[in-house]
Amino acid sequence: MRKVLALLALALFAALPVHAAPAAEKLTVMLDWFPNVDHVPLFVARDRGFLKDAGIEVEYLSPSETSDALKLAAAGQVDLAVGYQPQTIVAASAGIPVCAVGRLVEHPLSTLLFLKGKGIEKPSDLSGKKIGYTVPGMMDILLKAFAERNGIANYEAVNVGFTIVPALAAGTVDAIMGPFKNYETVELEHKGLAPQWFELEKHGIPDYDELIIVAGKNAYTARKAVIRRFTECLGKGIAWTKAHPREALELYFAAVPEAPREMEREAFARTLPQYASSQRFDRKGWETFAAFAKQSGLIEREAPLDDLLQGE
Amino acid sequence: MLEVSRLSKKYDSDDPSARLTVLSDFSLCVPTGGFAVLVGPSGCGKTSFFDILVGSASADSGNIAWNGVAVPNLCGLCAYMQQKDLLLPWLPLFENVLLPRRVRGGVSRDDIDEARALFVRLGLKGFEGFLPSSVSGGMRQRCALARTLMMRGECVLLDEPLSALDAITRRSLRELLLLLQSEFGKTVLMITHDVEEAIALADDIYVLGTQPMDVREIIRLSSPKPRSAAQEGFVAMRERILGSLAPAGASR
Amino acid sequence: MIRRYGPSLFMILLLCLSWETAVRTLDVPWYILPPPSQALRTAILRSPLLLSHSFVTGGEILLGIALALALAVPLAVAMFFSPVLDRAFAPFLVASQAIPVFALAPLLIVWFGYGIGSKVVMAAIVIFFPITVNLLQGFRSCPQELRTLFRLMEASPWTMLRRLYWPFALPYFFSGLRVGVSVATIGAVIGEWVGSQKGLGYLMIQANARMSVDLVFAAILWLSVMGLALWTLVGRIEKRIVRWKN
Repeated sequence: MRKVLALLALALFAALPVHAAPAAEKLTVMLDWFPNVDHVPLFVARDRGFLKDAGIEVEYLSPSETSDALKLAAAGQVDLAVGYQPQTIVAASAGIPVCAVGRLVEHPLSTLLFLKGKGIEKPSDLSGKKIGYTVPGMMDILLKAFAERNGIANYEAVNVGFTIVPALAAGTVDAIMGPFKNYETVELEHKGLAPQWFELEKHGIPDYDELIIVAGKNAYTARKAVIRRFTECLGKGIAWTKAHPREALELYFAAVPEAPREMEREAFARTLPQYASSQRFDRKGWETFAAFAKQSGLIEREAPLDDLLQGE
Repeated sequence: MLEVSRLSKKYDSDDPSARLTVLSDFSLCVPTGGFAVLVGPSGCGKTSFFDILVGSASADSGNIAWNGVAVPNLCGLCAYMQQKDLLLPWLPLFENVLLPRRVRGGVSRDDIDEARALFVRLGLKGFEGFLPSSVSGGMRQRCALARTLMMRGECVLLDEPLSALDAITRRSLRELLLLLQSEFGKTVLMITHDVEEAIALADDIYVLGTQPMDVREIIRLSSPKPRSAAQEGFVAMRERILGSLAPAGASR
Repeated sequence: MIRRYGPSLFMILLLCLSWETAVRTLDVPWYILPPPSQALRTAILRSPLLLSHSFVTGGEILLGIALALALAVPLAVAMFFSPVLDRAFAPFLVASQAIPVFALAPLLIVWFGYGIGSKVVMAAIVIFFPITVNLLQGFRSCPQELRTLFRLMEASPWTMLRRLYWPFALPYFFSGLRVGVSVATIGAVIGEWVGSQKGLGYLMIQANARMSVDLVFAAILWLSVMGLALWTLVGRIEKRIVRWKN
């Protein structure tokens, strides 16, 4: 009798529906550059378990070049990419099949940067001077638009690539369009220089999201649910970062041991107010920027915003 | 007059089997305007001897004297002709012949006339503008001979100058070598392994042994030159020399 | 004419066909790798733009070649005649080739500015090594017997350099030069990537930022043609000067 009972118990046990956790869905996300404090919420979302709870296993990759991430996402080689709003609009206008799905940094980080003590108080003081820019095809156009709207006349544009610090320090250029207000400014200060800057959105350039999450159109259609969950977790990551900045930063340092701590600590302080407060896109803002892009010559054809914006 | 007295040269080595005594108390004397020929098997040290004479190597002991004056080597005193024609491939034949004068400082009207005359004398007329690669081996050696004659130096060293040529060409060039002595009064020292060539050209034949290179026999010849195999005594002389050259016992 | 250019034209056609086929069958997006037909079309349609930038890059390359020659020839001569200098410079020679030029580019900008200078120096660095090494090899390959001949003619070192070593080394020099000019394009373009106003390298970055990937490849096409033209030109010059076989 005992034997039968034992066997029965065993059989019952075996027949019970085993509560197995559903296999996590994988997402590859290519960053816009090497990991830096702009990406803290992404690491928070991963390492605080928000993504795991949503059943997502995420892998962060670094590109070899800043336009790589977006193109690879469009081609389906990575699931998501961290991109820039202006660049995304250019891509969409050129017919590259991408859509914007989430927000990371909701204001421009690029600035028109110069050094203190050179007698520059307002933008028009840069008339007749040498102004550098970091990315041909993008920053030189922004510079031109900025100059038109702020009365900078007769300036000489110089492509400085990414040699921002030497160019300013040596005085080869008087200002540079492109350095980030949360990053290069800290770099310059650490090198003993005194940077000042004009914020683009406060000088006539329409406000835009510096960093957004981008997906290929096909990828979005195929995996809409997962991607939506991802951006939700990103929103949670941003919120948690704003609520617990010190812990968030330590978490980031643990995830990215090669980060230059001192510098990034300060950079983080300047980045904190820039993180996106919502995953919902500012449709009006995008329309304004798109019109500006067309008018300033950044794009030649209209960018179809309906297709492009797939936020919450 | 070229006098070599008691030249010795040894190549040392940690490996006893590689140690080589090339020359040991080697002496010879070539009178002014004379034609001496060294005959010996390959590898007996003839080239090492010439290396010492031209200054590419130095003897361990011994003396070299030219016209009674002791000299370390014959640099600047002798002209040199080798098995390889050593013509500069990028210069046409005429320029190759003028080379010694150019190197010395400059080419004069006389130099050009002299060179032209040599071209005629040596059967090269018409080929002045040709590059060495466009003419035959025999012509190249004739050109080398012309250059040798344009070099400063009353002494001429010939290191197997005809060995690279075919038998027919070799015969025709032999007579030209005699010009060095007969028309230009040079003192000639020649190395060869061709016994018949030695008999045809030499006033004095030095029959050499090997390791170290020593003089087995000196044969003085005085009949008119060039001598041919058809002449009386030629074959007997050849056999005599070949006999002298035969390795005596231990070989290298 | 067909016999001379036939085989290479055939290979080029074959390559283009495989590329075109691969892109179409593998469905490679145009913004990652455009098919050659598209790149070629852009290369032709936007010739005026590409031409004006080519002049700039071409100028940098030619000046770079001149600079490299001005440095390489004396250095090779010095290293040949002086064993001490040879030992001293040999490691730098090797290093100049081993260092990734991309790492040097920002330094050159700091030293030579954003103008044409840094690009010329960059191109020169890339060409310098093959020229020097080949020339040196040419000098060293001169047979001992010829050197002895000149010594017997009591030639001075300068005479030997002028009449023996230099002519002898010319074929070697030209092979080094041919290699050098074909990689000079790399040096100039990389120099332009890190701060320039004009040139095919600059155009490539600008086109890339504007997502005009076909223009990027059109620029690459023009660069290849430029490299090819330089290679052929040097070959022609060599044929004219070196009429002998060593």
